[in-house]
Amino acid sequence: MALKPILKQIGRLARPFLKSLGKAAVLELQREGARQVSRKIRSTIEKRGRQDRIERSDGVDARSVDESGGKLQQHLLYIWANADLVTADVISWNYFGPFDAEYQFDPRHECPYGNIREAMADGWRVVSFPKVEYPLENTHNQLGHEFILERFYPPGAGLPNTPHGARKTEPAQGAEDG
Amino acid sequence: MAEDFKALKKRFVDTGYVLLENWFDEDLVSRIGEDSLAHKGISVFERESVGDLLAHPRVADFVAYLLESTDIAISPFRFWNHLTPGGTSDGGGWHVDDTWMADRPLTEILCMYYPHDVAEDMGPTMLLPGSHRRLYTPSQTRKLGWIRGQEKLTVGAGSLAVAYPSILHAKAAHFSERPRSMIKYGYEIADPRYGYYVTRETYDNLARSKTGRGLIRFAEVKDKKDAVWNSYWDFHQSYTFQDFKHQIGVVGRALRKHLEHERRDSAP
Repeated sequence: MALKPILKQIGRLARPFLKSLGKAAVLELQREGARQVSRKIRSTIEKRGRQDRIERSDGVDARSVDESGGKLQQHLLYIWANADLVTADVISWNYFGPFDAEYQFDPRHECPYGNIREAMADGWRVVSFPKVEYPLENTHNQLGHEFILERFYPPGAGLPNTPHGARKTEPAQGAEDG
Repeated sequence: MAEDFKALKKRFVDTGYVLLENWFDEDLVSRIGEDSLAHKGISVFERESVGDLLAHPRVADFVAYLLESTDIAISPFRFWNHLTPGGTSDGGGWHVDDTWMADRPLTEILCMYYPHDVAEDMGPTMLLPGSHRRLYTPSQTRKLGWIRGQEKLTVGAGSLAVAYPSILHAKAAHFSERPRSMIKYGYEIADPRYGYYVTRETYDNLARSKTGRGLIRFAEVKDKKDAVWNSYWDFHQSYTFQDFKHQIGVVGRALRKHLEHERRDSAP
C-alpha cells in the first residue's frame, strides 16, 4: 500500500484539531521551543567559559600559563598566624616551590608579610584555612593557625628568600627540558 | 648553691632550657676541644675528657635537682658528637627529641655541650623558648621555617645547654669555614627497668669516678654498632613506632624496653 495517500488522510483529519487550538496556542508552543533553545545555548556558553578559564582547548591548565602563553609555576606560602584571622600576626612561615634554598635554614629571613591580608594584597590566594579546633586543642598541639596560600609565577620569579636561605639559581628552561 | 640551682630551675621550667656558662675549668674545656675535633659520633664518649664532662659532680648535682631525684643515670640520648666542617649548608629542620606528656613528670634531660666558640655564622643551635610543653608530631615540625621568638645559641667554648627533650630545636645553616662541634647526651632518673647500651671503652671511661659509676649502673656493654643503633633506633614494623621510637622520655623509654622484651619473648 502507498504511504502518501495515508499521510494525506491523517493531515485532513488533524486540521480541525489544530484550528481548534487557536493562533495564540500555536505561538506559545513556538515561544517555548525558542526558550528551550536559548537555555541550551546559554548553558553551553557558560560551560565553555568555565572550561576556558581552567583548561584551554589544548588541555593546559590556564593558571599555569601567563597571558602570552608563558609557563607559570605554583608557589606555596605557609603562614602560621596567632589567631584564625587574616589580620592576625605571623608566628611562623615557610615557602615552597619548584626551587631549592642556597642554605638550609638561615634564621635571618623573616616573613615578608606582617599578616595574611598583606600577602593577599600582594597577589597570594588562600587555598587552605585553619581547621576548626576544639577548645584547648590548639594550645597544646601546634604552633599556630595554619594558612596555606598559593601564587603562580614564571620560572625564576617569586619571593627572593625562603626561611632556609636565598633561593638557588634555577636551571635555564632549555636545560631543564633537555 | 641550692639558691643558684633554684633560680636556674625556674628559668629551665619557664623557657625549656638553661645555658650553663663558665662551669668547667680551662683545662677540661681545652681537652674536650681537642678531642671533639678528632673523634666524631659516639667515639668521643670513649675519651677521658668527655667522661669527665658527663661525670662532672656539679652538673650531676644540678641534673639531680632538676629531675628531683638523688639517683640519676646517663640516658642513651642520641649520644653523639655532631662535628661538621665549615662552609657546608648543613642546617637541619625543626624537631623535638621527645614527646611532651602533660600528665607525666619529667624523667630525662637533654644536654648540648659546645667545645668551641659558636658564632652566628657557624650553624648555632636554634631553640624556641616555651615550646617544650606542647605535643608535636614529626610531620608538624618538619614543615616549620622561621618562627617568631626563636633563639640562636651563639655561645662561648665550654658552654652547656641543659634542656627539656621536648623543646623545639634545629641547627642553623653553617656559613663559616671553621668546624663546629656539638656533643649531645642526656641524663635520666635511674631505673633498673630501663637499660641502655654503651661500648666497653665508654663504660670503663665513666667507671673511673664515683659519679661516673653511678651513671652507668644500669648500662650494658655492647659493641659499637649495637650501642649506636639498638638502644633506641632499632627497626620496628609499626608505623607509629617508626615515628616515636627514637624519642626518649616517658614514651620512648617504655617503648624501647617494650621492644627489647618483645624480642626476647619471641626468641626460640
